[in-house]
Amino acid sequence: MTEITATRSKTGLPTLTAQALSKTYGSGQNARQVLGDISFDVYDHETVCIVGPSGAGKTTLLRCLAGLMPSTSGSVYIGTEKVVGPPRRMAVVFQDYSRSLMPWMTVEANVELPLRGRPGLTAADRRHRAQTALASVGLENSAKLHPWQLSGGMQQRVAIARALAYEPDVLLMDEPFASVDAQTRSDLEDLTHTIKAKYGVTILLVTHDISESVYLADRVIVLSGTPTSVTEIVPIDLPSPRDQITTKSTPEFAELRGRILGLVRRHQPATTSTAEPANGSLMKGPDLG
Amino acid sequence: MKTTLGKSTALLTEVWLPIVALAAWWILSNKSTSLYFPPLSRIFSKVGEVVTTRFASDILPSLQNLGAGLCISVIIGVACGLLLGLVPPLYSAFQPLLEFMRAIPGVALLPIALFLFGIGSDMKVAIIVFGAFWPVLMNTIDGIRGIDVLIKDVSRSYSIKPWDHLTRIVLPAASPQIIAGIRISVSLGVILIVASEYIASTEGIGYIQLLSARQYQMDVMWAALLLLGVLGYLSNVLFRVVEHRLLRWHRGLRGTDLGGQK
Repeated sequence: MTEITATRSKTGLPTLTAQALSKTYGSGQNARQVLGDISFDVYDHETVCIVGPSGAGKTTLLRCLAGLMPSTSGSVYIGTEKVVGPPRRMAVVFQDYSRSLMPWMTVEANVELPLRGRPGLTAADRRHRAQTALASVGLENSAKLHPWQLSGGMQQRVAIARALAYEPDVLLMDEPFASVDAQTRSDLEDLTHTIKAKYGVTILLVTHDISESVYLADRVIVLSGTPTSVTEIVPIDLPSPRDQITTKSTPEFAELRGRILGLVRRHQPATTSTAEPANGSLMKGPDLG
Repeated sequence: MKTTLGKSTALLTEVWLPIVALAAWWILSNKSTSLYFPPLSRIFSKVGEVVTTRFASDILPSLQNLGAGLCISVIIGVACGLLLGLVPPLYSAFQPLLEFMRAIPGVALLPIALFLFGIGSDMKVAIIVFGAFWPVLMNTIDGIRGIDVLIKDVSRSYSIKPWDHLTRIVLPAASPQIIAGIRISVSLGVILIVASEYIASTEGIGYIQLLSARQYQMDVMWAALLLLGVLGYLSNVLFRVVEHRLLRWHRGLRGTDLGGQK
């Protein structure tokens, strides 16, 4: 576990590249630019978190990266392959687990669904792979249940198992733990470390929770307001393995958290609170550090 | 044990009122000498007579035509609904025409159906299909158009194969609405089968009813009426059983069926 998360090879080719990505909705007078010139690299076995103020077009960025939406200009590469549609080597975990799982299927069938029709994979292989993926998220005994019979955290585990069974190189996670309670959230954060170590997958995770980004990431990409661009990429040099209690109580953790919070707040778009002046209620929180 | 007890109480709450109503009818009509309202006891014996002597000649053809008409309605309705639901430009083009055509009552087609198909089974099946496939079609289209964007994103991002996308995602996702449409079609089908048997026919429950009324055999007429009621009721019960099985996930999702842990 230690060697995978600790060694970050920036020498090789990036696993995922966003190159001068921009996105404009509409055209002419109604044109609204959401993403403006976003570039970053994600390397093999890295966990990179994207944070930014709400309304910063994180979802748009993710949909462009996932090949679900074409960008207006710029491109996304997985390795050397240009992304033109949803790439086979990428799996997505969506925020809203209750809508991203098929309620008419069992947990097992949900995990197996993307594997159907893949050449060289028999029904037994599929079953085996689903079992393994479910076991690695601790749900080996829930295979025959339906998603709605599980708690929210367990449903998101199913969605993670579905992504793992797909055997992607890159795991894209869109605010995956935003809809669960605090305890479940920290469990799922630790699960992310575990599966990362076990599957050696590269993770790109969008979140609005700064503590979460620091706890999970090797690097944090901070986005700024509209149109969104990359403010700064902050390396997180915290030792691995990380632990909810010890890691989060170190002064380094607090310092990184404060620094990123400062970056995010500084670029808080005034448009997110139209009724208030730019330095209104949004800035009243705790000290920005 | 508890569930069987629960089921029998549920059954009791459902059947007590019909039993009371029948008993009241029986007692009130017992001494009746009215031509139009014969005693229920006599109607019952006629029901027995009709069921035993005319099952193959009249009841079975009605059931067959109804069954065939509904099956064809569902197949055509779901197939066309899939096409129109999945191809929005096609739906926009067809929508005005569809709205116009479905506004025509099914029975209004009887005169032309008589010319086209004669007075046999074909005509009745055609009438049922024309009248009863609209709810299936419209609900299938609605169901498909209402599928969550996120579900489509999941399907695309995991490159689900087109056939799996259709049969394991689109159809199940639209199934609650499709089934609601079929339920309406079943009721329409019962109406239409009777109407078609009234107009021009030599067989069927509706035919028995009309003929016996013309011959002032009111007990037979009432017996046929009761049979039609039972037929409609049973088709609904049958349908509920199918629905119960197919949409267990849907009830579960809405939190009304948390049973069946494994």
